[in-house]
Amino acid sequence: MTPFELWSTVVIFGPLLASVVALSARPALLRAGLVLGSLSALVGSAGLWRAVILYGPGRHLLGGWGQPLGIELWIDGFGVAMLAVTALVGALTSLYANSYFGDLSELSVRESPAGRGARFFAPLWLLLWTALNGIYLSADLFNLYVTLEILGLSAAAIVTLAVSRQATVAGMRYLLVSLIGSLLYLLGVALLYVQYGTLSLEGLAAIGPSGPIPAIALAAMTVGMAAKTALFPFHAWLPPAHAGAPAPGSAILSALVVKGSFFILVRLWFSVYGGGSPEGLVLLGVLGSGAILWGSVLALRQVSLKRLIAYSTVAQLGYLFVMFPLLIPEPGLWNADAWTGGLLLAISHALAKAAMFLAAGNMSYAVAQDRLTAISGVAHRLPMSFFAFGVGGLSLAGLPPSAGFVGKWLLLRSAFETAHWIWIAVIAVGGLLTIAYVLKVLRYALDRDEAPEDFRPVPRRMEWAAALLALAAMALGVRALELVELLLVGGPFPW
Amino acid sequence: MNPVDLYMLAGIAITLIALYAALTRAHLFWKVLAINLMGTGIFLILLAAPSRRTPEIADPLPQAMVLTGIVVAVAATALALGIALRVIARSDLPFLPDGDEDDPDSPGSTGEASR
Amino acid sequence: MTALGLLLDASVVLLLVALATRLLLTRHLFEAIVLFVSYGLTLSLAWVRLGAPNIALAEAALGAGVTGALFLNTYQRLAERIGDGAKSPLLEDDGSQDPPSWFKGLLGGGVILLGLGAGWALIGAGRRPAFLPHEIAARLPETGVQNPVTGVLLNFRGYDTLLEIAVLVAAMAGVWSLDRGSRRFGRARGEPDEDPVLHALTRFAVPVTVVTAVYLTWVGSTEPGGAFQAGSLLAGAGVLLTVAGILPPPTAASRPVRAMVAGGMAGFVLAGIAVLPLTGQFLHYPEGWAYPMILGIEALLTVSIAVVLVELFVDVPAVPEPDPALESIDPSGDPLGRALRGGEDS
Repeated sequence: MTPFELWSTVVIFGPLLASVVALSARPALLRAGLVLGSLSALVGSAGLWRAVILYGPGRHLLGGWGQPLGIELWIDGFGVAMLAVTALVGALTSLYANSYFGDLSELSVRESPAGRGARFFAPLWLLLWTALNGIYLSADLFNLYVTLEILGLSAAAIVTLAVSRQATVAGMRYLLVSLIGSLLYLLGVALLYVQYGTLSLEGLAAIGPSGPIPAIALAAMTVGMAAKTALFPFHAWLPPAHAGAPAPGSAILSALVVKGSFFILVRLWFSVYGGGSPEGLVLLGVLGSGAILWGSVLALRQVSLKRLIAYSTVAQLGYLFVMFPLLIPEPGLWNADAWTGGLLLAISHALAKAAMFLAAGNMSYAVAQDRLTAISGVAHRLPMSFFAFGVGGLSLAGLPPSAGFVGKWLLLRSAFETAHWIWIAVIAVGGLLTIAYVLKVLRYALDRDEAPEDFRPVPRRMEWAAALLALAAMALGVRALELVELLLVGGPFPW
Repeated sequence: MNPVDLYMLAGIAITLIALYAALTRAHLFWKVLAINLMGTGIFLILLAAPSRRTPEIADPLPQAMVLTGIVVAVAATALALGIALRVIARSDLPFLPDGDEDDPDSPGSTGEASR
Repeated sequence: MTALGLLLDASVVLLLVALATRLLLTRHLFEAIVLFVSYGLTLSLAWVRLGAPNIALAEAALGAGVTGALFLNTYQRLAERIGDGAKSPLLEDDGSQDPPSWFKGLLGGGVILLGLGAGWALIGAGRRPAFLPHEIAARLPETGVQNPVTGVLLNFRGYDTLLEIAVLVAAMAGVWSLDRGSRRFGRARGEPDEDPVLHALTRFAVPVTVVTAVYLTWVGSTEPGGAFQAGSLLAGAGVLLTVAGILPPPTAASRPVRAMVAGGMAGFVLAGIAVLPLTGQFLHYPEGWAYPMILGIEALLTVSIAVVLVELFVDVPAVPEPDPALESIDPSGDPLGRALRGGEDS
């Protein structure tokens, strides 16, 4: 048994077994499930990180067969980095959720719809976690489809845990988008299997897909995954769903879930299709730019806190697609700055966005609503959440020494090297708009001198979880070199 | 024409008709029906095309994929119908409310009841 | 291929496309559901023609059977809510909410172009010689089973099947998390049985179904059959027993039900982990153990799948009347704060 085999088993099946424990739905076991899932994800991804640094990319032949007969797990720097950030965000969000939903098992609302739903947060979230970890290690087209479906169903169910009409409608729309997106992906899988007779990503990469059928397949899969990632102009479902979910759900959806389909897009376009077509890459970059500008402007216009953060996700996801055209400046070459910069942004967005949603959850938990006008003065009562939101926002805007800063700087450098002025302009304008909407929230929170009277105390753990995530987003910038080293193991073309 | 080609072409046709219906029928139940049909269309492509290529030996892999796909479709349908019923319970209409979600002044985005 | 065979294939294909088009175009929900079930049964025929009896079984049981039943059940709920004979957009969609015609035209044009392109490419494209079917056939003896589809599902690609069960469990947890009204399907245990026909049917059908399901699970290693087909048959028996009031309806609150739902997945994972120290890889069965382990996993899965399907069918959330207290919960994102404060206004 190699470390790859051991730790990849732990990181995928630990959360899955934890979901079985949590499904028993007794409060003590809900907690045990969250602890078991968090520990196995943290330990497993740490083990894989070490293994990848020591031995380079590795694999786990599930069932002992190997491709093309069986399914392989492929463990490289990109996947492990995503596993690790998911583990960190997931563990702190689980800590948060335990307090957030904890009240429900004690109070009279237990038999209300909200109380009933709260009992299923833990199993749904642990299944979702399993699916994310599965995606980051999968090297098989059809296996990715099945994991995507676990992800989509559990994510939509988590949105509807918030029982309001808006959340129900948002969850329904999210589920439909998600199902259609997965089926478009499956259509691509079918076409590729018809053409090449294999499902292995590595096998396909060795063949080098080209011709009309692979092109149609890539187009279908890209549209499907772009819809699930909420890439502009497919973003309309995201703000109501991410804003409507219960606070820990918002953090998970915005920080982690959208990265799953983004990961698949990167794998397909680069690892399998070897860059696809330059025109396609530019188109994705243009859509990403559209997302940055449109999402930021709309974030600025929002009047409710969680909606503002959700639109910020639309915008920040745009940066990840600006990476696409920058990664391959000319055929046969790839730009390491674009690769590490774009992915560092994905990672720092996960930390910062989770911090912001959890901090926002604390503020609206305290004042029982999340209009911006209602949180005025809340900074005096919740200094730690205020701090978490501010630090997270600054990291998002790319202020040093945050990981967002390092990521943007690398991305800008790769654009400078290849003289892509238009992307530079977009990145710069997006950063300014980010600062503007973060300041807008901070201004409201500091608005009044005295604290709001009608105020419900927030459990300490919920404050700590948000603050730790924000600190991690900042501190990551200081230790960015290690992450860059990890991301370069395997690179965009591992096979 | 090889009869297996017929099934493959039918698969393409059904996939795309269903995709069209899923995006143009506003009623939630038809959306769920259309998503189910879209899946079956893809299954037809998946099963017909390889057996056209190797008529001498059945390929069990697409069959296994389609079996998995059928189970996934049942699961998705059950959840979708459950949530759709709750949408109906909340709004008494089987549609997702219209409205520009991008507009902060629209009712949907500020949390005021729109109906 | 005989001319008769070609004629049959052509009519099946035409029927499929016609049924699909009709059911997606009709404005009457009941008609659409009936057409959907007919479509599923026609599709089973297509699977038989394509040489896939495994799928034909699953399609008839799950695709047409369970899915059709789910739709009918939901329809029933809506019809009850509306009352007899009343017209409602819930059941009769007049299309007034559909998107504008420019959108339809654009999408329709795009879809037709895509269809022509894909059809042309698929018919015309050159193909690499297939290697995988031969490879699977050559190594099937190592899997411990003789049915190649079972070999793929439980050995070559057992991980996919494990995750597929996770999809079912996720849907189950999602359905459980939805609120539901007090009205449930079926009657309470011990209530006098008023329907002699139903009772007689149950007496006759349930034992036959259970025996068939056991047979299907067992035979799945050599012949068409397996956990999913057997599980859906067993689910049929479970639904009959519940409707007849002989079994209490399963609920999320019942611990045995939860254990059975999660048990298949848990057993599968534990089996995969148990072999890890012996062979070094997840789900890599040690030599000589493949057949008994696969049979054991299939038996567990059959029970799990049956319980999930009964539960999904019987436990369709009722359509409660709109609850004003719920609507006052802060819709903009944090239901808890408001719920805990007793729902006062902002």
